[in-house]
Amino acid sequence: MRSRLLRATCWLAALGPFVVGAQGSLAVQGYGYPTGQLSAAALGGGGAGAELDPASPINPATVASGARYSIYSQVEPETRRTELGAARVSARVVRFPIFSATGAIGPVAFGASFSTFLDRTFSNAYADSQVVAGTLLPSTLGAASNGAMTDARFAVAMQVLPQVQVGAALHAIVGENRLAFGRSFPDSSGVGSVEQASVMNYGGRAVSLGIVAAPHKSLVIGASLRTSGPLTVRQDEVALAEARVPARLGLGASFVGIPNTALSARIERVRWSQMDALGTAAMSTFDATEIGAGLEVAGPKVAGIASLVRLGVRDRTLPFGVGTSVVDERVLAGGLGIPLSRGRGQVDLAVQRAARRTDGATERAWLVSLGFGIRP
Amino acid sequence: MMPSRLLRAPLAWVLAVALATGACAERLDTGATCPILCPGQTLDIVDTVLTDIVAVDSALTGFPFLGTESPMLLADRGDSLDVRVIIRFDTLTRVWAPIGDTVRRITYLDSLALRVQLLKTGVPLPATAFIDAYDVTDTTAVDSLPSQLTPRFVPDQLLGTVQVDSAGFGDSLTVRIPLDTAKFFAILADSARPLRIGLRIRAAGSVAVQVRASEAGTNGPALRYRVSPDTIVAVKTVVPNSKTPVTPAGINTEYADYSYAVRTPMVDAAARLLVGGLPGRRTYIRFALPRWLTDSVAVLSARLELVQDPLRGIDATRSMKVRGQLVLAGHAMTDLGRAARLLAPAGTAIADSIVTVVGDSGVVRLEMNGAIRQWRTVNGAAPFPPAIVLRPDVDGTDSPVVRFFSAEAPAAVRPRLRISYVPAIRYGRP
Repeated sequence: MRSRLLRATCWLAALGPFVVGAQGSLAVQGYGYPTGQLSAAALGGGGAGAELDPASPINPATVASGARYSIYSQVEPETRRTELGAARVSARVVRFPIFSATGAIGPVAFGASFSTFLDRTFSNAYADSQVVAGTLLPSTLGAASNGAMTDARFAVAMQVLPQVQVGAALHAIVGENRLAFGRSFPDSSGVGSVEQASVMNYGGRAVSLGIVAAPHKSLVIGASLRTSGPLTVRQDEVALAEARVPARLGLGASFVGIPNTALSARIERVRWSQMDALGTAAMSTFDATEIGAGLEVAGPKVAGIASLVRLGVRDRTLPFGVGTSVVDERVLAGGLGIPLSRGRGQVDLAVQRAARRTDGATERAWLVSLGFGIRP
Repeated sequence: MMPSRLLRAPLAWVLAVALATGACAERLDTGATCPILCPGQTLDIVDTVLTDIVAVDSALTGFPFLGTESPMLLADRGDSLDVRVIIRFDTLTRVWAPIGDTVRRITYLDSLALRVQLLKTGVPLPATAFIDAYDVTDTTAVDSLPSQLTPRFVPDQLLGTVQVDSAGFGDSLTVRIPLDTAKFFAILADSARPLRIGLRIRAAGSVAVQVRASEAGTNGPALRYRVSPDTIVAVKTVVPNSKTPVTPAGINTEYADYSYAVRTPMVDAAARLLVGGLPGRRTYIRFALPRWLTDSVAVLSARLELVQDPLRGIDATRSMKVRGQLVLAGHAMTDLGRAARLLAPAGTAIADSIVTVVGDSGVVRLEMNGAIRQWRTVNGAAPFPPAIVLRPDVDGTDSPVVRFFSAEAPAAVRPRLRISYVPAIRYGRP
């Protein structure tokens, strides 16, 4: 066990030096990469347990499942390699996809969270040529974006029956992308460069409803629905476009009939096409279905409390395509949940191997998710 | 034992992952899969020609101010050009003191000469040329006026002559013009008398050189003479200086040496702009640009196109560099002559220059997209008028002049602006 852990640590260290990502990847098309808003614990099990996971801010009913008070945050570096014909690009981006806090007043639990909805962080620079005043000139084109759409959620939940929790949440889609774009020409050409620095701001709202129920002592079911509300984008304070927050429907179940084991599955449908009007005609948007299956078993005890070992697979399509082609993503995942301080804290680790594919291009990525939960 | 080991192992694992994660640094340097995976990053570039873009244009003369030219042109090119140099010695050394003895008047003169350093111009040197030095002193006249000076270049006033041979004349040549000792004694005898020397060059054909001015320091003109046969006694060296004019204060120092034109080619013409020559000329152009050009679009290239009107005179085959400089004079400055002196440093905003041959015709271009960007309005107003000055590399030191058609010329040859611009950058919406 220790040798395996040592090997894993060495492997992680060997990831550096890191190179960060660009729009020139399959993941960051359109308005960016959907992180899924899943916690490290859920990701380690292929996202299968997300509808029942209080740290994954998708089902508001799960807020009632957590401790009376808790704080959770997560960091998630991704290293990816994109191949397009003979071109290969290695990239790296570091995200902080979730921060949440929960509490309770009497029977009502509440939670506030900020989670990355669509991460649009990239930078690229490449040489090409451009005709200026009838002369073909070499030039360098650069573009960069930093930032994300963030889902700010306030949720309330309560246990209405011994085996039933319900919840509701208000979502505000906020955030910004700080953009830099420019084209420069050699000094000897005498042609000036053009540059643009701008900020795109997002504003949207939605409501979500959720339920967690245990119809049988061996079965726990969770379901949630996010409605579609207005979503606008402004660039440098000028209204640019208006669309809808994509509606989402998710259903998950866990079978806990085997001691120290949970078998989970989940299906989710997101109507990303409702965002289509937010982009230009060149942006292709696809509704996405996500399917996940996972296993969670009790691992070695730490300070008397069992740790958790997780495995899972996840398959989905990404919302924004390359040209008119959809991008598929398939993930193999594994993870650990390690209790700390006699259960008052929890560290969840998930390692995902993602393979993305579209016509003519492939992308492989390692995602390491590290979640820290505190229950004071 | 076992729980302790298990406890340590996961914590070490977590610590290692945390360290590895924390060590991650973002570095943005990719692009190999662009442009296929980087949609929306193209720019639409519009090319167009703007005509009637000139609000005011004018050829201005008097550059630089008299006395500040460096070096000074000395030329005799037949009927076309006659340029002479004046060097003032308003203070002369009239006494000396032998070592260990008292001060006394100069009674001995030897090796009296005016030393000047000559530079080549673009005009080929004849095999032999002569430089004559005249005493042009007249304290009763305003002797900076050509009409007052020229009559004094007469044989009676000749102080000395030197022969200059092209053989051995590299890029520069220092010559000593021996001066008439008797005449100089007479000048020294009158303690109030200054000495103002006029230089004139002559040759069998066309000739032109430049004389290093006093601004060049030790390479500038100097009057040198021995006051004792004893070689231990140092040679007296007198550098140019002028006591007049007295107003405005300080300008007298500029008059220590200068060149002036007795005769210049006729280059002025209606609806023409001039740059260069003697007296030095600059062209001032204030533009009437559409607001969208300065404020609303990203200009990649803005080339001022001027149609050159050939000058077939003495310098027809000589090339000349014309610089464009941004005018920094504010809106309140209505004197174009003064505005044409308040310029951004050369190379600022307009890095380009025009190199052309004086006798050529056709279109020449000056890239000035940097200037267009400077004329962007702020709160509805531009900080200074959209104007440039066309000027030679160095004002008033050489004879070539280039001539362009002005905004008053026929439409086909008026100044125009050929621009390439991006109408609007709206990168961001995928």
